[in-house]
Amino acid sequence: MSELIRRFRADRTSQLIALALTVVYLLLFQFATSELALHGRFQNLTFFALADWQAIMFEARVPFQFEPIAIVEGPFFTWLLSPLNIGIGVMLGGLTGTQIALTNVARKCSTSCGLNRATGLLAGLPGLLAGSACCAPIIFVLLGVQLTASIVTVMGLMVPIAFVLLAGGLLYTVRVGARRCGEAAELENMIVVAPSGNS
Amino acid sequence: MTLNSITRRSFLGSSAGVAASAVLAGAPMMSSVASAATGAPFPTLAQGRISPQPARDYVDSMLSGGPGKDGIPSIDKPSFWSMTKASEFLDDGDIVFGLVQNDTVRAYPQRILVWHEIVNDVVDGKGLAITYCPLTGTAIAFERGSTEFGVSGRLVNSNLIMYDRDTDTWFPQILAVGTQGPHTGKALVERPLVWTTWGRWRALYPQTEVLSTRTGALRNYRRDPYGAYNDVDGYYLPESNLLFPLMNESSQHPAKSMFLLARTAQNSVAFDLNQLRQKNRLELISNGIFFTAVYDPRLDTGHVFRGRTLAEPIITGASAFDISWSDGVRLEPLSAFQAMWFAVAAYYPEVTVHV
Repeated sequence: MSELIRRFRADRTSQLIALALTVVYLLLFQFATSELALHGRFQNLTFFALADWQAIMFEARVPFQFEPIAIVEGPFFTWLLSPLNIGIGVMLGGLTGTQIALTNVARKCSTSCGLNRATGLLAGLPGLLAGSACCAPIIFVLLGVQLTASIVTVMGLMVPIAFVLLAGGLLYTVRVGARRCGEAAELENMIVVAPSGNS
Repeated sequence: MTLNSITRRSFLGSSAGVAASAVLAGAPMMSSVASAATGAPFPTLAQGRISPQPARDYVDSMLSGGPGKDGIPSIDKPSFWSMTKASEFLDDGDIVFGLVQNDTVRAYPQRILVWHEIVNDVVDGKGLAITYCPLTGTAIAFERGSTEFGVSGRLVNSNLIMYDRDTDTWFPQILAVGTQGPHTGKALVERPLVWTTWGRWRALYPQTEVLSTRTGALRNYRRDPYGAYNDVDGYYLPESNLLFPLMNESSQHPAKSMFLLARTAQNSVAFDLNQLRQKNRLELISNGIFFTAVYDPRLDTGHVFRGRTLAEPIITGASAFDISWSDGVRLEPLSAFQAMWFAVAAYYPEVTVHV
């Protein structure tokens, strides 16, 4: 694993991929939960926080979605700020970004490493389906598809499902990537050593 | 179950009808029982309200919509804007639910209630719960007595199930009869609440107070998660799909077309709101009893009465209780509210519908 981490630390592009994907996922997650929304008005920047924010911030609207404690309104956007939801978005985004960045590093070690960047993106998808309107999951409101009790139950578990898939995917990526990068490092050493041995 | 049994009768001006109306004219208004007499923390209807199926059926048909109990936060400490201040937030075409209680006039914006569904308000000294279910398009005010109502997070027929926080009795909003808990079978007392637009309401009641966005919770009140009423879009389109299974289904009208629904202890009657707009007055017979619906063009709403008369209505306020008749006859005003057709049929498969 140390070789994978060493190469990741030295790879500026992969670090930027991890950071950018974390931010993009967080923004998508905020849109999906309707906490970030765009509108057509140019208005001054305003900020309002609830006086009893400490009591409210741990209240869950639906499983794994917590109450916002402040609102920022500005030109063309409204942002409801929930520290816990932002934390969840950063966590899921971080897992997605790290997995894809490490896949990128591993593929540089070996083109046939058995890792695919799309896997990480797919694993993060359930988290983006977790948004709930007042009475129903947003995705079903948008699609106009009828719900059943079991679907509602599963929709309430989208955040932990995304976490398990992403964490599992990251572990697999680290395992495979560490092996491939370790092998690549050994091969590089042999190539470096061999010419001097033959001369 | 499909709705083959829905009865649809247009009014025929028969002599029998006139006789029936003569008997019904001047009938007493629905009386309520104070909470002290029943042990319930809220007043209840003495004569009850029609509940077509056993309470168990409604409980068995409940579904979670996702949020838990009180996951949709009711507004328990409402604050109000003046009409001028509210006009910065509301467009004239936005939907508001208007209430007049003696000298107090209040409007509750749909854009706020879509996120909260219940306002536990005190109006002119009386505890009222202003309730709104976005999925069935129903806004109903109830007398709540000393208790508060909360959002259970569960639905039946896509309709909000509320519960009273003192005794945990559960009430589907449209049925307005307890279906589980210590007061199962008891019927809540409704108060007139008008579904209208902000422009119409403020023109009629410039002194109105308006529920403000300081609700105790933070939501994006400029956005409706289901669609829009100004102009109608998304989930609210008449032909759009339903989200949850129903106890009874009917395809006789577009699922989300708006009807004016009234219930008594024995009857449920519904009038097509578009028809009422065009004809100003509709009449029907249900179980041998006449019902009359009258259109109020000032607020673009309708009022329902038990009985009939050939006289002209004289509309002086915002509810059926504010209508008198040019010949001096008294028809019994009924609590009525707008509802999407699918919800009317799902709760009341035997409803008599004007065509």
